[in-house]
Formats: sequence, structure tokens, C-alpha cells
Amino acid sequence: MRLEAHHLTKSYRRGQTHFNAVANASFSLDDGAFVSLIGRSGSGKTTLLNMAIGLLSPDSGEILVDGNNLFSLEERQRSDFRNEKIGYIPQGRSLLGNLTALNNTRLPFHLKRRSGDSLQKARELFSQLGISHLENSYPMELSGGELRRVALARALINSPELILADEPTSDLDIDTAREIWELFSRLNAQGVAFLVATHDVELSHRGNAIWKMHSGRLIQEAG
Amino acid sequence: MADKVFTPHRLALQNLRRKPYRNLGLAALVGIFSAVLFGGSILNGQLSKGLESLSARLGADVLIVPYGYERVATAALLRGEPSTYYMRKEVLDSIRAVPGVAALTPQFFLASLIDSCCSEHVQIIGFDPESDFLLRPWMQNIITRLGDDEIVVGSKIITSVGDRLFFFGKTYRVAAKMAPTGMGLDTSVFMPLETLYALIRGNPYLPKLLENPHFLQKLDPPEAYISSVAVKVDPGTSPKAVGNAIMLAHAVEYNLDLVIAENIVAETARRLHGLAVSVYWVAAGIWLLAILVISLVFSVSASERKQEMSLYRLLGAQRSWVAGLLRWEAFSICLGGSLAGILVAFCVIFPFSTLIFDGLQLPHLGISGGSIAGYALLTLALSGLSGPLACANTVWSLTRFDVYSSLREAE
Repeated sequence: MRLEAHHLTKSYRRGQTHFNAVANASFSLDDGAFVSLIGRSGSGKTTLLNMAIGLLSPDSGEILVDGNNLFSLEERQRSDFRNEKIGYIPQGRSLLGNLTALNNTRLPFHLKRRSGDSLQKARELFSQLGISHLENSYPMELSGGELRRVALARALINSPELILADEPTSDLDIDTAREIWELFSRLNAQGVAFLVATHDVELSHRGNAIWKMHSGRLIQEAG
Repeated sequence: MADKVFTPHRLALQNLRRKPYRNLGLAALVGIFSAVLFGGSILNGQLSKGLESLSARLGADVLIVPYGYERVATAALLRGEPSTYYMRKEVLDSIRAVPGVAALTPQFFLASLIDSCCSEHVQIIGFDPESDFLLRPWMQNIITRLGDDEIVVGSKIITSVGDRLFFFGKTYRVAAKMAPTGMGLDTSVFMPLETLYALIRGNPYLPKLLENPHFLQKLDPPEAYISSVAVKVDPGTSPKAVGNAIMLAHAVEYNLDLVIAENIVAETARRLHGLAVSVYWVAAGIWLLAILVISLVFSVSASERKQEMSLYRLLGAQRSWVAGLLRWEAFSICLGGSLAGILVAFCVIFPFSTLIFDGLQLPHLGISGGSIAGYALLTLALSGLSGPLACANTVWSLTRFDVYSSLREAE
């Protein structure tokens, strides 16, 4: 899958003034990419990620998925795109409190009619991520690192081609944060593309490219 | 763990478990509505059937009773309330001579005290087998074949054909049981006038057992007295006009009063209508209240659930899926509450129906299982509908908000 953005701009109003959360950003992501998107809080990283998955429409510019304009698709098709092609790890605690870790992971699989055994697949992912012992735990019983691993398992359940992670290690200790990035690297080696928003400059070097966001502007550089 | 698919239905049930007390409260409200609607419909159905039976099978057009006993006679006819009142029998010939009278038949009432066969007072009704047209529709040809010691019992008297019942020191064989009438006749015991007169004549127990023994002193001899005269008027003649003619000619002489049968039906229909309207207004009120409260609770919880809904959307759930989830939650609350309400109403109405109808003092007849099922389905349908109606506003708002913004707010 090739994901391209052309001249994306998104502005917001804060009080009496307008400001550009994302200003004229363009990029392309190919299969197997591992991009770290760094920048300070409020630099526009989350806005860019949300536009990239079709959740937030830009004021101008376009997102192309394999050459097709994401925002010319119907809302239903954009939902399918997120469900099938993208694995998304939102910022903060993003698991549903009334579901076990395993069922949280299985949920995206069942948001669309598809054949297969989500239970077996979720268990394989748990095993792969070293969290098999957490299957029946509820989110409130999990540590920050465990929550991220479960969120990663959930992002992987539909075998997406691209995973977008928004500050996946922001509230983790350095060792746990490293472990999470290790997992990303391992999965990337298996062919999954990553676009990871972070403000941890040290860890960002584990990707093969670093993009910087500064006041809504996207600056790309080699990793 | 079984591989259960995450349908909105399953997930809705899991979500409801998060706030069990709140959801049980909402379900209880729907349950009250269902109990009122289902229970009220069953009662109304039974009363309507009683009214149909009353108007279709009340054989007399006019009932002549002693002066001052109009209400008592109506109560005896509709509810089988034991009553004792008498007038001289020669009134029969006088009434027969009034123009417009097509047929007439006398009755003699004797109220027993609590008898071994019955849990309450029993009205013993003596009738004339030759001229009777009041009881015949429920008794077919049995009344002309009754022996001296044989009686017929109403459908609600707990006994079987062939059993022997004991009244005022004399034993009688139950020759037949009447078909249900929905009226007071169901709790009465019937015997030919001659059998009843024989029971009264020189009976040593009567003065001790009769509710109003002073009547006995007047009944000398008993065969010279009757309690009421049922009159059928000529076809095309107004019962009211014939009744007035009887009153005009003989009211003073015999101290008479009259009951117009169609007035009983009209009065019963009016009370029944009043009851039905009250039940349905109350049910409608509770239904609206339930919808309003559920809607309010869902709206209030909408803001705290925005992040959850955003997550579904983020993970690729379509708006219709999220809407379905919310509708299932509301529907499940309503369905559960409704089933419980129907069950409670069922458990209250059927075991206590005698008590309830005694309180209502209206004729009634049992309704079919099909009708009961129909009322249950109607109640379930209305309750089920209230779920999606109640959450419509929340569904609309929670499927159209800005997912990105609500996720940012939650961070």
C-alpha cells in the first residue's frame, strides 16, 4: 500500500486567531517504511496522523491511498479502510474497560463481516508480544507497558499494512519504551510499515526515516 | 473461551453490565409500563368479554323487583351478591296483563351463610322451569328435568356434577354445572321454585342460618312470594315503555321498582370504558415517562461515552454499527424490563383475578390463550419500540460528533 499526502492544511481557531495545526504537509509512505514523526506537543503530529487515516478531513490538500483520494470515498468506505488497512494505536489509554485484554484485541476483527478465528489470531499475537498471561485481564489491571502491548496486538489483529502510533511510549519508563520500539522494529522487519509519532528523539532514531513537525510544518529527513 | 463474535448485540449486553443498578432501574420503569399495559389489557379483555356475554345473553328486557331493591337486584345479577327481598306472587298475573309483555318468569332469592361447598355467601335462586328464559341459555334442557333433590350450580362453585351439597339441613345432588356467564349467576346455586319452597317450609335451621331471618316471618306461606320477575317485551316494543306501563299500573299496589336490562349493559359498558381509558392513559403516561427517562439517562451518559464511541470509529466501526450498539443497549433494557413486567402482571392477575374482579364489581369472562399471547406481544412490541425511540437523539449525536476532537479531549 502506498499512502501519499499532498499539501495538507488544517487550521483551527483559538480565541480570535486562526492557526495552522498542519500547514502544506506532503509525504509518501511505502510498504515496509518505518518513519518516526517527531515534534513538540502541539506541533501537529496527531492532526497529521488523523488526517492520514481519514478521520479528520483537511481544509485543503489530499490523501491518496494507492492513488485513490481517501476523502472522495464514502464514510463507510473510509471506515473499512481504517479497519482493513490501518492499525492505529491512539495516544493514552485506549482499551475498552469492560472487555478483557484478549477481547479488546479481537474487537476490530468483528467490526466487519469476515471469516476466520479471531480468538486463535489474538492468542498468537499475545504469544508473539509476550503477553499471553494477560489474556483475561481487564485494562484497569494492566501497567502502561502492558496496555501498549495489548493496543499493539489490537492494531495487528486485521494484519494491516500500516501501523500508525501516536505517542506510544509517552508515559512509559525508558526500559519499557525501548521494549515497545523493539517490538515495532521486529514487526517492521516482518513487513509492516510504521509511522510513529513521538517526542522522544533518542528512540526516534530506531526508524529508518525521521520526519519533524514544527508549528504545523512537516520536514522530512533521512534516518 | 468460545470464539463468540462481537456483534453489537453481545457487546451491548456487556456494556449494560457496567452500570447494573442504573440499567436495572431503567428496566424496572419499562417493567412497570409493561405490567400496567399487559395487566390492564388482560383485565379489559376479560371485562369486555363479560360485557359481550351480558348483552348477548341477558334474557330479560325488564326486571321487576320490590321497591328500593333496584340496585340490590342489579348487584345480584352482575356480581352474585347474596340478597334477600320478596314481593307477593300474584304480581305475576297483574304484570302479564300489561300490554307489550311477551313473557315473564319469576325468581326467588335466598342468601345462604358460608356453606361447606363455598368459600363465601351463596345466592340460592329458585326459578320456574316451565316459564324460565333467564337461565335457559346457560342450562340448555337440564332445567326441565331436575328432580326434587337436584340443583344446578354456577360455573365458579367449586364442585362437580354428581356431588352432594348441603343447604340448611337438606342435601342436594348437583345435576349440572352452568356454562360461565361472566355475571353473578356464576356464583349462584339454582333449584326449581318448588324445591326451594320445600326447603324453606318448616325448616328448623333457617331462622339460625339466614342472614336476615326477619324475612321468614313474612314468607307464610313461602310459595306465595317471589323475589323478582323477569319480563320479555314484544318485539319492536320499547322495554322502557313497557316497564313504565307496569310501574304506572302496579307500582303502588305491589310496591314495585324496575331495572331496565339495557341500562345495566349501558352502565356496565360505561364503567368498563372508563376503566379501559384510565388503564391506557396510565400506561401511556408511564410509557412516555420511560422513554423520557431512558432518553435523559442515555443523553447524560453520551458525553462520558464519546471516547468509547470514538474508539469504535477509530478502529473502523461504521456509524451504523455504533448506532446499532446503542440501540441494542436501549432495546435490551426495554426488552428485559418488559418481560419481567409481563411476568409480574401474569403472576398477579391470574392467581388474584377473583379478588380483582370482586373489587371492580363488573362482569367478566376468561379470555383465550391466544388473546393473552397477543397482549403480551403487543406489550413487548411497544416496550421494544421505546428503546430505539428513547436513544434516537443520543444515537444521532454520538454517531455524528467529531471523533478526532473527542479523542483529543480524552487525552
